[in-house]
This record gives sequence, C-alpha cells and structure tokens, in this order.
Amino acid sequence: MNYLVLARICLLIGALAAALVCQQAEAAWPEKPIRILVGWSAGGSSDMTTRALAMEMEKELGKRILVTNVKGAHGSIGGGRVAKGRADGYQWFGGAAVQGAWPVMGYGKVSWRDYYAMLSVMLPTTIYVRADAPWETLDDLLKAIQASRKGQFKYGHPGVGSNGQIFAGLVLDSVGAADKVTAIPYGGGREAGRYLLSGQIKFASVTMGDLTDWAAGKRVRPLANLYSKDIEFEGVQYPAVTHSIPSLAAYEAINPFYGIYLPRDTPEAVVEKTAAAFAKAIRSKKFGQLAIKERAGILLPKLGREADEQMSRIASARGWALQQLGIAKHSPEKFGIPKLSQWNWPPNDAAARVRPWPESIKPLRP
Amino acid sequence: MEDRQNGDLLLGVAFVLFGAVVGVEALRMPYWERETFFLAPGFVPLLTGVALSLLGVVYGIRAGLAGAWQNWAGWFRDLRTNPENKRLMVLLAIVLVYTVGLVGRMGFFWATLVFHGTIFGYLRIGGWLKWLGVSIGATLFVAVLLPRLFEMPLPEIE
Amino acid sequence: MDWALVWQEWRALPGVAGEVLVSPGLLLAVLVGSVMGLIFGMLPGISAVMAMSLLVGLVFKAPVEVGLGLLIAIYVGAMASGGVTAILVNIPGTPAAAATGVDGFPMATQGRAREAIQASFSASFAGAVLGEFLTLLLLPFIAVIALKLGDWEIFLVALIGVTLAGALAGKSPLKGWLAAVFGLIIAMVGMEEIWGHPRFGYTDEMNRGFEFVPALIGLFGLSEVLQVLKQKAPYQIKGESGRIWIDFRLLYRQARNLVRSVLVAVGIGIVPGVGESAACWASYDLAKRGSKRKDSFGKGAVEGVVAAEAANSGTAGGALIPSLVFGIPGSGPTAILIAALFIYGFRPGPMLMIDEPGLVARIVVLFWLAAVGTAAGAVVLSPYFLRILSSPREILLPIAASLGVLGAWAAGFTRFDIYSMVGFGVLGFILRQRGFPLAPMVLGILVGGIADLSLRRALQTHSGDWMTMIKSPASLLLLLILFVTIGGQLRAWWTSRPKATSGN
Repeated sequence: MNYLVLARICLLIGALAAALVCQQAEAAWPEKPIRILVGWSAGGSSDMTTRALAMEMEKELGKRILVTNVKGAHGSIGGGRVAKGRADGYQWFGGAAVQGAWPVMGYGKVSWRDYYAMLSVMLPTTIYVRADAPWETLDDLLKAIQASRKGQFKYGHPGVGSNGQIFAGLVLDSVGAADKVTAIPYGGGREAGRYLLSGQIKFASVTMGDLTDWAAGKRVRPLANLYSKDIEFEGVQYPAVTHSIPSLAAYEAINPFYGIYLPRDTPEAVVEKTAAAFAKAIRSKKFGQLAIKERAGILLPKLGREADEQMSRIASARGWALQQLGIAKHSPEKFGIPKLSQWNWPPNDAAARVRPWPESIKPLRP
Repeated sequence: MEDRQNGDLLLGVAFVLFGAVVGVEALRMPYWERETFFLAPGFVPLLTGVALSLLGVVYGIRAGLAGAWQNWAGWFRDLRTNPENKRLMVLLAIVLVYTVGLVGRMGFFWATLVFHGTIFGYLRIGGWLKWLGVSIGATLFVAVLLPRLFEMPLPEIE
Repeated sequence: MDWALVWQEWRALPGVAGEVLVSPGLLLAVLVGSVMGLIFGMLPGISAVMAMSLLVGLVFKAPVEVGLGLLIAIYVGAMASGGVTAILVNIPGTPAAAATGVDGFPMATQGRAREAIQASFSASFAGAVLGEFLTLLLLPFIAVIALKLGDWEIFLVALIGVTLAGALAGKSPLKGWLAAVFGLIIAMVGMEEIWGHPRFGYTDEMNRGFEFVPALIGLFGLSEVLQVLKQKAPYQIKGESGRIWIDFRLLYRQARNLVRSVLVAVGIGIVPGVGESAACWASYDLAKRGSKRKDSFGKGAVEGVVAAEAANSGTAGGALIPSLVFGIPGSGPTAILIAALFIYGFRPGPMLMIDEPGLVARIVVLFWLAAVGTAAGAVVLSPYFLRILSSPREILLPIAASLGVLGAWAAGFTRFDIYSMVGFGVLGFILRQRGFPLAPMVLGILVGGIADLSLRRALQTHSGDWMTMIKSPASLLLLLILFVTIGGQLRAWWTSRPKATSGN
C-alpha cells in the first residue's frame, strides 16, 4: 500500500506537468525561448553587454532570452557553432565584434560575413600606469622605455591578440621601441590591473572600463586612450592617444565593439523584428546603466550596411595589426582583407556578394 | 589479494603510456622558440605528462613487486564471474544506451522514460504498478518539471 | 596593509544580514536547501558533494543569492546529518562523518542513539556558526595579503593544494598524486589562454575543453551511483532517534572541546586541498588526548562525537578562505561553490573583495542562516530519520543519474558535456575501484588553469629565471611547506614499506 501512495503522488505530479506543457501555442517567431551563445566567460565585458541587451530585448520580443557562455578561441568556438547551426532565429551569437580576425588567427573559416551584426557599444583601450609611477604623460613613459635595456620593460595586456596588446604594440612601434619591452598576457584586463598594482609590470594596456574604478580611486593613472577625443569619466581625464601619435587615429577600429549576431541566412522577417527590438533596447535606461555607464562605453549603434562596413573595418584593423605583431597564423592578404589605409566598401569580392540586409532596416543615430 | 595487484599493474602501464602520449603531444605544440620557450602552450602539459609517467612507473613497479605478473587467468576469471561486475556491466550498458544512444535521437522526455523504465525494471523496485508510477513520475520530474522550473532548453533531435 | 579593505566586509555585515533576513524567497531557498541537505546527507550513496554537483548545473537560472543559498544550505545540512548514518548504521553518510561513528555507533548499540544524534547536531550547529565567524575575521587579512602576491606565489599555492590533497585525501599518497596529476592533464585540454592555441583540440568540442561541472557530476555523481548500485547489500540500523533538540547545555559543558575542534578545523580548512575528512580525524585525536577519560573513547564517549561533528561543520569556513581568495578550493564542496560563483559571473581570486564588496559577508550570513535552518530542520525531522534512512536506493540513485545527465547538459547545452560526464563517471568508478581518491583529481581539474598560467607567466616575467621563485619571503615560506609535505609523505611511505609488502 505504500507504493500505491507513491504512485498516486507521481500521477499527480504528472498531471500538473502535462498541464504546464500544453499551456502555450503561438504562431509567429519567436514561439520559444531564444538562446544567445556568448563567446567569452561570464562576468567579462562581452558577457555583461550581451546580458544587459538580452534583458531589454526580452521585453520587446516577449520570450525568454537565455544567455550561455561558450568561451574559447576569441569567441570563435561559440561563434562557429551559431554560424553553422540552424538559422531559424532561435540561436544568436553575442559579444565582441572580432569575427573578422578569426580566419587570420587560424580559427576556422567563419568570418564577419556569416552574420548580420547588430552593434551597440564601443569600449576604448587605455594605457594605465600606477598612480605613484614617475610618468605623467605617454611621452614620459615612451622616453623611459626607449632608455631601457632590451626586453627589460614588462607590460601587461588582457591576452594574446587582444585590443590591449595590439594598441600597446602600435604605440611602441610608432617610436621604434618594440624590442625594449616584454609583453605579459593576463586573463583579462582586471587581472593585468592587479599585477600592475602588485608591481610585476610597469604599465597595463587594457580596455578602459576594466580599471576606471581604480583610476577614480587614484590607484592607477590613464596615460593614453585609443579614441579621437579626450574623455572625462568619473572625474578622471583620459587623454586621447592622438596628442602624442596622430597616426593612430585610423586605428580606432581596434577597440572592442559589442553586439549580437544572427546567422546570415536568417529569414528576413526575423531579422527585421530582431533589429526593431534591438533599436529599442539600446535606448533603454537599464542598458544605458549596465553597458554604457558602468563599463565606460560609448554608444555607437550600427545596423544594416553601416554594421557590415564597421565589421569589415575591424577585420582590416585587427587582421593587419595581428600580422604586424607576428601573432597572425595567416596573412590577411590571403583573405582579401585590405589595410585600413586602403579600405573602402566593398573591401573584396566576397563582401560584395554577401546577402544584403532587409530593405526596411534603416541606419541608427548615434 | 592478487586480483588487486593485477589491476594495479594494468593501470600503472596505462598511466605511463598516457603520460607519454601527453608529453609527445605537448612537444608537438607550437611556440617552443627560444624567446617564448616558457610561454609555450606545451610547457605545462609536458611537465604533467612526464610527472604522470614517472608516478605511473613507481605505481606499476610496486604492483609488480607484489606479484602482479602472475595469475592473469585467475584475475580474468574473477572479473568475469563476479556477480557484482555483471550487475555493473548491465547498469553501465543502460546508462550508455541512454546517454549516447537515446538522448538527441529522440525527445528527451521519451529517452528518459525508456531509461527509467529499463533501470527500474532491472533493479526490480516492486510490482508493475509501482514500476510504472515511479518511472513516469521520475521522468516527469527530471524531463519536464525541472527544465520548466529552470527555463532551460532540452537536447533536441539532430 | 589596506585597512579599508579589511574593514569592508565586517562593516557590510549588518546591512547584508538585514537584507537577507527580509527576503522571503531567499529564506525559503535556504530552508529547502537545509532540509534537502539533511536528507541527502543521511542517504547512503548520496553525499553532500554529489547532491551539490547534481544541482550546480541547474541553479544557474535562479537569482544569485537564491542559488548560492540553496547550495550552501545543502552543504551545511549534509555535513550535519552525515553523522546520523554514521551513528545508526556505522556507515558514514559523507566521508567527513567517518570519525563520528567511532564513538557514535557504540553509543547507539548501548541504546544511547538519541543522545548521540542530539550531540551530533548540536555540535554541527555550533561548529558551523563558530567556523564561519572565524572565517569572517580571518579572510579579509588573507585577501589583502593575497593582493600583493605575484605569479610565483600563486603558482606555489596551487601546487601545495594539489600536493597536499593528493597526500591526504586517500590512504596512499602515490594514488592521490596520480589522481591529482591526471586532473591537471585534463585541465590542459582546450584553448589555452596565452596564445589561444587549442591544446589536444582534436575536435571542435575538445577545443573548448572539458567543462568543470560535467566532470564534477561524473566523478562525484555517476561514479558513486554505479558504485552503490552494483552492490545489493542491505544494511542494519541500530537504534531509533526520536525527537531531538539542540542541546545548549551540552555545548556549554563541551565549550573547550568545541572551540579547540573548530580552531583545528578552520586551520586545516585554510590549507588548500585539505578538507572535512582530514579535519574531523585531527579534532577527534586532539579531543581524545585532551580528555580526562581517554579510555572511554571508541566505546561511546560523547566528546568524540562532539569533536568530530564540530570539526566537519567548522571546516567549511576555513575551506572558504583559499576558495574565495585564490580560487583554489579547500575541499570538494567548496570546489562546487567555486563552480557556482563562476556560473554567476564572479571570479574567485585575489580581486574578489574589490570587485564584489559585501559578497564575503553575504556568503558567511548564508552559512549562518543555513546552520539555523539545519538545526530547525533536524528538530522537526528527527522522528522520521529512520524512515529516511531506509528509503529505497534503487529508486533514488537512477533518478540521480538522469538528473546528472540534465545537469551536465545545462552546463553548456551540448551533448559533448553529457558524453564527458559519462566518461568521467566511468573513469571515476574505475579509479575508485582501485582505491584512488577522486578529490585530488577534481582539485587538479579546477586548479590546472591557474597553475599553468601563473607558472608560465612567472617564468616570462622573470626572463626564465627559476631562481626568482625563492626571492620573496612569501614564496620561500610556501616552498618550505611544499617540501615538508612531500618529504613527510616520502618518509612515512619509506618507513611503512616493509610492513605493507609483508602484509600482502
């Protein structure tokens, strides 16, 4: 008789669960939860911006958006899975817009052309030194580096091939001091910042938002920011790198740009609906708070042709910078990626042939 | 206790071989150049592979000294006839069929139902009514209620 | 010393406690967790780690505090109730309760089961509260010091953790070290973080590497399920518990014993890689040596039960310290808490207190709340302990297996995680059969990434000069600990060798 009770309880649970299953049946997309694969680990900039966006887009689309982290290989593991997966609008990719660099780094054939990119926020890259360091400006720092012995000047960046390493590499190249330094890769800008404080490295080249709280707390000092204008953030001045090295103005595309990405063969109606929800979500207060204010981001929304052009410029900037730094597995030339100085739309035949965006999608105001 | 030693010797050999494979594979990884030697991706895998092989040698030798090279026939016979091992093989087969064979080939609910039905049947948990009730109840709990509660997608048919 | 950072968590405590106490969802989660923990801790075959590992993959959708509260409560509940099984059946419900049975089981056979269980829960309650209190006092200091540590020191802490876990988790250090190194190798699979090179990336999925949660479920969950189900042994229950209370008079009488046990437990917990199972024996031993009635130990001395149970619940606090400060777990369950923190986007490590002010205080408050919930749950449930103990394993364990499949899937929504869970389950089963402890392997998997990065980076930062390892006093001290550990184990092995071979 004991098991009869048990069986009855089971049946009851069963009936309840069955009722839950049959509850919903809707027609148009989306009719079930949407999944976003973020190509980087939880808690980082890619993750935070994607989650903030997902939270707002959920309200517009009326279905849950589940964010999963599938990290590895500059996001290309999750990104590859989305590009090769079903293009039914239920699986997107999210995070930094570095798809253009994947083929150059040897991470498979997937590139920016395999997605419709909806870009939201850009985060500048910054060179920080400790607050008690003797260098007040970038020029001071560069002079000290030039005067040092070969390989003696240690600096940290958030990882091989990251915006931080490319930026520092370009800055050092511009004064011919690349051989004076040793680059130490860390697991993200925050970690590089910690080792900057503990004195293992002399400067850190990281995404600006990673250390803004320490800059405000006078633990570290920004010397140069990869952006065309000086920025004031939480009472701290972030001087534009172009004061010292004007030629770097063209390399703003190295900065990480964040967004969501739908496979390029997604049905037109789905793309339109997503784009509309995206356009609304980026203007929301919550997104502004989480992705822009807390991470020191700059809102530069891009959809349609504009987004394709930006993605292609990023491919050029990153691809050639990686090649110059000797990190690239394949030359960008092999993929028809032009140098930034020679860039214009379309950059190559493959880009000219990509499936166009739906007509109805208009560019967004910044 | 001979049977234990035989297994230890086999496992020791497996550790040594595995460690060696790891070490060789580590040496085939890139960036072993002079200036990036210590940063090479294979650096730590090489160390761990060598460590595993060395520990495996010690482990195997100790088993060997204790007389592990003898009486393989007895060891195999024991492995084959032990009723616990038989039970284990059946359980393992059920788990493997479920995870590798069924999940992803049919709906998660049905796969789980088959799994529960089979394993509860094999373990003889009670009469047919209890068997049916527990199988269905457990399946609804694992494959319907929890995924609903935590709003997670389930393995789809591929 | 950065005093502001040291004060920070203490100052946050009242605010956090107030916040937690007025959130009904969280209170409910902790209560449910405590009861689940109590029940899981009692069921032979389902250990605290196993229950936690099955759930960690699923809680990711719950709000952070609810998820953490649930896991912590299961941990505390299971630590407390593992003693019941040890007392009534003489099979510890969790390995951490092994020492409880030494005196608890004789008490039960003498018809003093209720007294033993009451002492066990009372001591667990006091141990959890005191242990967490000590943690809250100590952790900020250690965290502030950790902020100044470089790559060499972090590497040595990781290495000590793996070495000690290997040496102490099982009977043979050799097997422990083999398991630990094997775990380190598993951690090497996948994209490494310096070059982005896919190590052992034979397939796309291996490129991504083995996720920690499926490995955990396989090693602690599935392997245990197979292990228990393959035997058909029913077991004998001695005695009946009846209604118990938290006995404050006993706690007062045993105050010296309690404080000593908790101090030992926290001290052992702080050492990375050494957890509850070691702490309960050490405390038991000290209680025996410090007692006036030494000869009553092992024959039903209530001091023995109190020491062992206060220690296994107190260790949780100590084990939190290396887990939160370095991301290197002090025990199996804290390894799962680390995994949960990662899932929620926290990064345990020296930066945790700066990045997440108040989190440490919050975790401590959750532990306290769980201790209260567990005590209340024990009082309410105690008349039904016998029935819980005799619940059918043949029904529970297969459900644990399918739950494990669901949990592994939830780690990344890919079938590869299910396959790797099963693989780790079988591997864990084989190793367990041959007497290998699995905790060092789990630790190796978790710590491998940290050890790899910090070693390579230390060598790169110091231009390949190994000697720089001994240049800072901190790393010199750590290196000394490492040598003492290895040396001690080798000595013990050498002197015990003739006995071992003649015994076979």
